[in-house]
Formats: sequence, C-alpha cells, structure tokens
Amino acid sequence: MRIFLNSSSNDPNYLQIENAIRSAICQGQLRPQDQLPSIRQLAKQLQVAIITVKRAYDDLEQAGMIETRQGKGCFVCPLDVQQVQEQAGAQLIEEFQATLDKGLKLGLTLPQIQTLFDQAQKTVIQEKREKL
Amino acid sequence: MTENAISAENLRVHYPDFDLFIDHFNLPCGYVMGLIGRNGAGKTTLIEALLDSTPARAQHCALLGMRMDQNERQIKNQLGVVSDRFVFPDSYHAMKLMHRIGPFYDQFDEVLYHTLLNRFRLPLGKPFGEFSAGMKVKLSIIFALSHHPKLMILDEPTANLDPVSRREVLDLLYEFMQQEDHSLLFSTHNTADLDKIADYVTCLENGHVKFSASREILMENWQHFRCEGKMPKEMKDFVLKPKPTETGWEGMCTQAAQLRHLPVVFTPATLEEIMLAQDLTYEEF
Repeated sequence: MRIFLNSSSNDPNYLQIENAIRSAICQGQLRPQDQLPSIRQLAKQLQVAIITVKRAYDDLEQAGMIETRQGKGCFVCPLDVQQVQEQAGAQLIEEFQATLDKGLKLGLTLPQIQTLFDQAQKTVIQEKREKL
Repeated sequence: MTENAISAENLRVHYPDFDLFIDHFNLPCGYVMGLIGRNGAGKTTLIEALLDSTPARAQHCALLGMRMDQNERQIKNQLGVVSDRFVFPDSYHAMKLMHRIGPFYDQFDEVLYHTLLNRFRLPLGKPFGEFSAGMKVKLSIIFALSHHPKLMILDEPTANLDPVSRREVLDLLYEFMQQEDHSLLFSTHNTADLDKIADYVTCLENGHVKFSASREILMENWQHFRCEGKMPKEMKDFVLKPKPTETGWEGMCTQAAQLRHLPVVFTPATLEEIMLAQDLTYEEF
C-alpha cells in the first residue's frame, strides 16, 4: 500500500491517511488480518508527526476497520461489507443531493438531470470495459 | 513507564534583564515537541533551566520522571543534549571525543558512533575546532545519539544546516523516534522543515508560554480565511489582522474548526504564518 499526501489539499493530513487506508481496505489491497505499518514507521515514511498517524489509526479503530493488538501492532479487521456499504451509501447520497441541488439552481429539470445521470453511468461502464 | 518525558510546573528563572515564568510545561513520553518563539523569547533559557544548568526555581521539574538534583547520573545517562552552548573542546577530533568523553556514559555504543560518522561522512581525524558549523551540529547529534538516550533535547539543531543536511538530520530524528519510549524536544526558527516532525508546539514570548498545543489542533483551528461581503458575526471574536479585499475580508482565524458551517473559505496556514499572525508587532503578512 502506498499513501500519497497532497500538501495542496484542504483535507488535513490525518484525514488523507485515513481515507487512503480506508479505500485500500475497501478495494481489497489490504485484506483482513494484514498488518499495517507501525504508527512510527508510517510517520517517518510520510514525514509527518507521530500524532497525525495516531489520529488516523484511532479513527479507523473506532470505525471498526482496524484493531490494535497490544505489543504486536495494528491489523485489518474482517470487513463488515454491510457496514462499509452503509457508510459509502450515506456519503454518496450527500454528494447526489449536492449535485441535484446544483443542477436545479442552474435551471435544469429533474428529468433532464436523470438523463445526464444515465449518460454518466454509460460512460463509466464503457471506461471500465475498456480497461479490462 | 513515566507519563511525561519532561514535566515542569511554576518554573522561574530570574536574570537582571529577563524573567522566565512557565506555569506548565509537559512533554508526553513518546512524542516530539517543537519550541518556537522570537529571539530572546526564552527558548534557550527554558532548556537550560530544564537541564539545571542555570539557576532556576520550580515547584516541580522532572526529566524522565526523575529530578536532576537527586538522579543526575541516571538522567544524564538517558539524555542527549545538543546545543551550541554545550560544545566539545576545539582540539578534540571525533576519535578522541569517543575515547575521552564516551566512557562517562554507561552505555556508549562505539559501533553505532562509527556507523553514524560514516553515514554523515564526517572526518575522524579533524579537530572539532576546524569543523564547519553544520559539521559541528551533526557531530554533536551523532555523539548524543551514541549513548542510547531516551530523551533528546536540541537547541536550534537545524540553524546552520543546508537543505540536504537538514533532511538527513530529520531522518535521523525520525529513526530515533521509532522507539515508543523515546521523546524529543527541540527549539527552532526553521519552522518550515523540522515542524513536520513536531507532535506538539510550544511558543514562547517574553519568557511566557504564548500557546502550547498539539499541532493537529493548532493547524485545524488557525487557518487563513477569505469571505465575500461582510464578515459573519460569529467569527468576529476569532479573527486576527483582518484586511479588507476588493470584495470582502481576509485574515487569520483562530477557531476555524468550529466555524466551518459559515460561508467563508478556510485554507491551511503554516506554522510560520501562525507565528507571524499572532505577533502584533508585525503588521504585514
């Protein structure tokens, strides 16, 4: 797993680390029982403060995605697919609402937005096929 | 394990022209603290007071859970200090240093010392007095690390280093911090580079603590803001040096984390910008 911190992003470093690990787990790059780098190793690798990595790990642990075993390190928890999908769903619905809102403000009607959504869907599926 | 690598309460140093008064000063074990502040703010005096090398009075002052007046030997065995005020004799070269001063420590590691000297390409036979300022700092850090300290205290470690050396020293300090019971205190003016590693930041002004906080919290709250039109009422109390722009206001906000809901654009600030913003003697930034 490689984490890249974007210094021009408005997201604080801890959140960027958190999101990178979260998506690595959701996409299967990190599997249940995999060991994560120690907090201190990752801080050195990314050249950030120890407390920054610790905060990311603490948040992930609270969300039930990783667990700390005393004296052994941090490990990925078995993935609760339903929980992950619920979290992702909540995030997506917020983004959909924002997009809808924007479209309505620009004077589009709901059916027009629906058509645009269908178009976007086709494009994404097309791109996926081309990659395979 | 002790909770605090450094703890001090009501620490006072009195000089004819300067007073240092620190209510609380704590560095939790396993973390890094950066000490910042203007020239003459008291950074070096604080470090000297903690090391008991200047007359100071304190209600409580402990390094690694021990008091300097009771456990000086144990403390110094686990303490690495680097400062331009604690230098080696000019005629000593790296080898002589190891043979003459190394034995004062219970666990001076000659192998580690040689490895680090090699890594930093420092000459073994050149007298300390002929070293460049940067080489002196590197040798001091290497020598301090070679007796396996648990606490490192560095006064302006990066002041004389070129950018590459600064990164090398930073890496060395990250390596030191790989052990969970290791702690580090350093003072610096070079906020841009070394502040990466700092977990906590303490800023001194005129011998007092101006602010002391975890850097995460500091960075989340102290941010640049920019807004169109009138400044929202809720943020008026938390703004420093507001400046009118063509269409609204900009400046530094001190409570950005709580004000995210406002129609204001917040962008992260660097430690240097935070220092400049809270210094009221400096108008433009």
